[in-house]
Amino acid sequence: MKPQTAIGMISILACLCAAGCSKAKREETPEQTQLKTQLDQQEKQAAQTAQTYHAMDNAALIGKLQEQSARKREPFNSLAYRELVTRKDVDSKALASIVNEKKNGDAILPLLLLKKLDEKSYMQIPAAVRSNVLTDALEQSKTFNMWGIPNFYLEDASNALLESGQSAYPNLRRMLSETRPAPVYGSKAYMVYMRYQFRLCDYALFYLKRMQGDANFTLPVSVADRDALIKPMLK
Amino acid sequence: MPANIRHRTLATTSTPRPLLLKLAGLAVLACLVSGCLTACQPTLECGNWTFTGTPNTSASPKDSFPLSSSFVFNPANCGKQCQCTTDAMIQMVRVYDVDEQMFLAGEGESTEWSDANGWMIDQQPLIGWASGYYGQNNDGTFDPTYNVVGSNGTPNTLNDAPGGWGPSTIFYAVDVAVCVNSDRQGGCDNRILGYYFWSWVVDSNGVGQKFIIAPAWKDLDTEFQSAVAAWNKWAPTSGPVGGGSTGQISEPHAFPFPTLSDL
Repeated sequence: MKPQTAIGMISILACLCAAGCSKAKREETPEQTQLKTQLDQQEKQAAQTAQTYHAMDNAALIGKLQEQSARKREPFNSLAYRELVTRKDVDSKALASIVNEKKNGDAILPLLLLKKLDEKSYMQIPAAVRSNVLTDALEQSKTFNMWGIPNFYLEDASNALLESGQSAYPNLRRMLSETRPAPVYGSKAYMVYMRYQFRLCDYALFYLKRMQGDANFTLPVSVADRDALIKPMLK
Repeated sequence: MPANIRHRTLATTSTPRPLLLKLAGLAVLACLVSGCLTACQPTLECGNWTFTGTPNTSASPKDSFPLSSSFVFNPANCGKQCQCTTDAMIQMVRVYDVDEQMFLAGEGESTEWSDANGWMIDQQPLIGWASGYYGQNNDGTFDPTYNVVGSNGTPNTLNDAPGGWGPSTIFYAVDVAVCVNSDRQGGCDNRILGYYFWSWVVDSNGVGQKFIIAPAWKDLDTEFQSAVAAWNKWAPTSGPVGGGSTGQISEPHAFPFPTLSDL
């Protein structure tokens, strides 16, 4: 058999097989095709976004960090935080300067980043400023994923607050009267929130009890039981 | 490719031929094998899926989505045999922020087990669960609040109620039914029985929109294996899971999945 003839036969076989394959493949619905395209586009866009942040210098990223901090973006959902936390040459003084200048919840991300990257510089910020940034951010929170879920897990912001000491007490005591909902978004975490119906005052209660020495304190599931614990603390 | 054709093709290429013919034959064979492996396998469905759910737009927040996703295993649907005594769910999810063009996480730790395309196994070690199976307690039982397990002809039902996500968010999930325990004859432990896709959108006003549901398509099974691999890489490094007030037995770390493959 000539090589050309053999190649021709194999090509025909390939075509037949390909035809069989495409016939066996389940037909995609238009909706599936649209969703596939959407998913593919998102992956490209997300990669491009991450690359854009990766290409920024520290000064530009700190600018983005401030903007995302003012919007109360969680550290794990802030692209500026995600990028900066991987860098070794971030200027601690620049972060400390933002915190000392703002002194409120708008500085939450620079404060948490400073704690993560340079604990010594973090501790040099006056305790009253640190606790004010943290408690103000807590009070302004609309969703509480930045803090975690009491009894279950605590994010970096909660741990920083627990370490902040007595200067946080007055603001936390004030929040004991604030009964607005403190939801978390998510799937199972949201279901836990729905079971407990956490409120801002519950977070304040949890922190105060833990900070005042009850290291194993957990919030009761019942709202009435939690209110019973809060009532004497309001006096 | 039918087995008989594949064997004939292999036999052809193993017979001595001039170099040009050999190279051409091998190239075509490689194309056929790789092409057919990727194009001919539909996403498995050894049973029937039923999805129920309604966006809860009257509550606050207005993007709560109580739902259930149910799979009834019937091996005859895919021409297989397996007597599965317990089939349960694994769920992978992905959340996309349209405005920021990035994938979101509900908590810091979960970013550690997401795959390169933003998919992650939806389980909560932070809340105490060490297993990646949806709603599996650390003692091996399943919490029926989350997953009522099934068997041949009996529904395996996942209950979920995602919510609270911000405006301009798209939430995607793929539910995967897996045989956890089977009898000896079936021998189908750790075999995947079916895949199902669902999704919803929170619009720019923060109001949840209708569910989009569809049988999963080719590539999502590959993506699922990628999400499982990401979980398995992270699990041994997770640190202690459970204990305390979680109501779960304390475990030294999250449990990796065994090798999972289609039935």
